[in-house]
This record gives sequence, structure tokens and C-alpha cells, in this order.
Amino acid sequence: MSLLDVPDTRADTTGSPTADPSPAAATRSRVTPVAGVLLLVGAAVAWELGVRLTGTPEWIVPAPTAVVRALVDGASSLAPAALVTLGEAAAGLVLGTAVGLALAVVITFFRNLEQAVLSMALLAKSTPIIAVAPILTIWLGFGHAPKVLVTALLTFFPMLVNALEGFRSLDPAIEDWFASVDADPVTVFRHARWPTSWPYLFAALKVSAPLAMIGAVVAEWMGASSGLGRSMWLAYTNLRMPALFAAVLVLTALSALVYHLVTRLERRALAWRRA
Amino acid sequence: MSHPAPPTTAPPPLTLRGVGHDHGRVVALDGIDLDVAAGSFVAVVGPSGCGKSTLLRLVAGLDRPTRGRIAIGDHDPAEVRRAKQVGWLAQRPALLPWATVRDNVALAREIVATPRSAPDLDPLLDLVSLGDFADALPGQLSGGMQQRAALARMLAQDAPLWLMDEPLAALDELTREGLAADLLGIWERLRPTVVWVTHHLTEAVSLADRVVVLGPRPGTVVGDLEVDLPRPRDVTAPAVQDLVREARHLLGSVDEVTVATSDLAPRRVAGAGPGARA
Repeated sequence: MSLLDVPDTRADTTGSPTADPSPAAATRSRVTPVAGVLLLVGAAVAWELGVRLTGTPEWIVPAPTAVVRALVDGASSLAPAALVTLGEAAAGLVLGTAVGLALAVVITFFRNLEQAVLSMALLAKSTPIIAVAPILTIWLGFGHAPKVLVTALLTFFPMLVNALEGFRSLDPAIEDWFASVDADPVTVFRHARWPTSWPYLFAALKVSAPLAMIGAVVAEWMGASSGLGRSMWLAYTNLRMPALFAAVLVLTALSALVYHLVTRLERRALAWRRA
Repeated sequence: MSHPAPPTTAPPPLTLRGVGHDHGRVVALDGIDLDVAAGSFVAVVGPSGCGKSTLLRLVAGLDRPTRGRIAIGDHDPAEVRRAKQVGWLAQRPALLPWATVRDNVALAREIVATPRSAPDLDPLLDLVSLGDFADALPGQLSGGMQQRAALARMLAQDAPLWLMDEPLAALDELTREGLAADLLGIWERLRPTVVWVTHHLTEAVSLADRVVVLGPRPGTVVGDLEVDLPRPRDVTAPAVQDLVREARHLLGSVDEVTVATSDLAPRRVAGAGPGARA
């Protein structure tokens, strides 16, 4: 008989386990953002009422309406400042991610370097950034370079640790198969370790991308000619709290936006996990 | 339809002499002597934890025996593995979940760099009834279909030695029987040397030329049954049942028996066994 004459076992087994999300899950996904917005609005209303009813001075805690007013009035200066900070954070994130990834790849291929590389990395990670930032500013000036470096210093470690974990988390059964065909380490890395690590890399990015924004702002506080950090510093030294809060609001919104973008990217890149 | 060409290298005989293996202080296998003729189909059965999978890993060259010697033809298992002549099919299909079925199979071809006599991928996928699912991701397939994809990947290697570690264990009864029949049909066509580890006595007797019975840890050979019955085999046939009973007796003779529940009572469903339709 022909090998193809076998009964088709596909008929009862083709269902995709995650093809149709349950109605409950769909409802949950609609409800969650609405609940989030309501919570935010509620908090803002409570904050506004609290400030007004207690008569708290604006230079201590400004009301949300005052912050919004400062945001609108200062939009022409906040927008370019946000762009500068965003650019520095992005450059630092790219640099930190690249260095973290490169070190993880090196350690994966040369295990005997692990202790030395990780010790150095831990040293760099453990040094307080608040101490490093002014030093870098003195060395490199008030331009973008120290901000990019500070951001890279903040972001490389999560990427290094997660990438290393990702490269090592290859399914033992897959590892056995590659061993059975005597695949070389580069082939195993390219076809298996690298894709296996993607969920770990995105987890690192979700931590380090918002962290990059903070890194850039901290570095700007130490001395800068532009950026959100400088806007905050100017507002702080002049006790213009609504302007300071407006700058913080922009920074928070940008961090949330960056996180959201990474999450979207993750969903697209890891679509196979939903198969 | 097209069929894969026979392996470009002749199927090798397999010789184990005094093979033993320790996992730290635990002796997993001890004093294994075994000869497997070239092109034969040998099933290895035994209770859970008796070292069946360890034995297969040693033959595959994935681990080295602590004692004794294994020869595949005239070569050390590690040499045969380096020559990419070991086909490996485990209980879990171990497909790359981010790659399509076609890409998974193509990867084996790419790594092994099979000679031009090797078949194209499409006939291979048709052979395992996955022609229409070439662009599907493993996660979109059932367990049986994933194992068929893993089988296609193994066939793409064109290896003369197939080592299978309970390849049907994770599948439901119907899928298991269908895939066993397909595997047997492909083996009869290509005639590689096969070592098939299973804990299903009926499956072993219905598929293999010989059934090697291992005792509990440390695993040693406690029986070696020749299955001199024509294929396809009806699992309800008295001759098959006698051999299953004999294998069970051998397992029973070593104090501890852990075999699949379905093997404890003879199956009475006529024509339901793999042998009935191969």
C-alpha cells in the first residue's frame, strides 16, 4: 500500500489552541483601559479638590489645572526639550543595548570570560549614576555625549543579564537535536539561541527603555544646555512648581509611550508565541 | 508520489560490549551487551528509569559511556554523529517554534548538507501528510502533526541510523497508531538501522524485529526476543500476544515492573494496531 493511504489524523487535531480568545478575555481587554482612565481622572479630581480645599500654595503643590496651564503655556519650549531628551535616551539605549548584547554573546561563546566580564559589568552597574554623571559632564562637556553615556551605563546591565539568560534558556530537547546533527555553535546560536532569547530581550527593553529616559534627564540635571532635565532644573531653581510638574508630566508620558512602543514591537516580533 | 531515496550510506550494524553508564554516583546502566544487525529494527523496552533513554544517548554519541565500548559499524558513536549520520527522534518533537514546518525541515538539510540524491522537501512533507501545512508554525499543529514534522526533519537528514526515544509516547491512541504505521512503512522502504526505545510492549512487538528487555536500574539486558512474524502484524493475533506476554514475564521476573497500563491487558480491537494497516 502507499504510505499516503494512511487515515488522515489531521481532521481531529488541527485546532489552534489560541485561535479564539474567550468573550470574557475580550471584555476584560476593553474594560481595563477604561478603568485606567477613570482612575487617573478620579486621582486628578481628588488632587485638585485637595489643593483647593486645603489652600496649599502653588510653590509647594500645584493643582492639576495649574500644571495643565503651565504645560500649554510652556509647550513651545517643552516640545523641543522633550525631543532632545528623547534623542539622548534613544542613543544611550541603543549604545547600552548593543554593549550588553555584545558582551552576552561573547560570554556565551567564551564561557571562561564570564567571571571577568560580569565582574566588570557589575562594577559599572553598582557605581552610583548620580556620582558618575557630573564626572562625565566635567570630562565631556555640556553636550549630548555625557547624557548618552550615562543612559548607556544605566541600560546595558539589564540587557546583558537578560540576554545571557535568554541565550542559555534553549529547550534541552532542541539542544539535543542540534547536538545529534553535530551543528556548530554559530549555527545553534543563529537558529536557536538567538530566537529563544527574544522574549528575554524584550523583557530587558521594557525595563531599560523607560530607564533610558530617566538616565538622560538625570544627566541633564548635572549640566545641560537643553532637554527636559534642564527645563526641570530651571523650574526648580525658580520655584516654578507648575512648570516643574509639567516637565515631569511630559517625561512620564514619554516613558509610558516608549514602554508601549516596546510592548507593541514585542507583540509583533513574538507573534509565533500566540500560534 | 515521490519517495525519499535510500540513505546514501549503508545502514550500519551496532555493537555494545560491557556498556555501563553512571550519573554521578547512580549507576544507570551496567554490562550491556547487544548486537544490532545492519538494517534491522530493534525495540528496547523496560521499566521507567531503567536507562533506556541513557542507552540511546550513548549510541547517539550525545554522552560517552562510563564503561565498555560502543561501535557503529567500525566507528565510535561520536564519529558517526560528527559525520551527521544519526537520525534522532525524541518524545518531544523539539521543533523550532518560530520557524515554519518547511523551515524546520530545511534547517536539517542545511546543517547536514545532504548530497544531491536527497529528496526535495515537498515530497518529504507529503510523505508525512504535512504537504498542506508546510507554512504552518509548530504551535498551530497538533502533537501528532508536530511529531510528523520532526519525522520529516529526520528523513531530510538521510541518516542510515535512526534512534528514536519514545517518539509516540506523548500522542493519543489513534494518532500513535497512524504514525507508527507510517514510520514502519518508511522504514520498510529505506531500511535504516533502527533502535526504538519504548515502554509499550505491544508497540514494540508489533513494530520491531527484536525486542530487547532491560531490567530496572541499573539497566541490564534481561531478555532478547526475536519477533519472527510477517508484517503487518495484528496485535490481537495469538503469536503477537504470546510475545507480549513473554516480554511482560521477563519484566515481571525482575521484581519491579512499570509498563504502560494499556499493555497490561491485551487489546481486543481488531485491526486497530499499527501492524494491521502498515
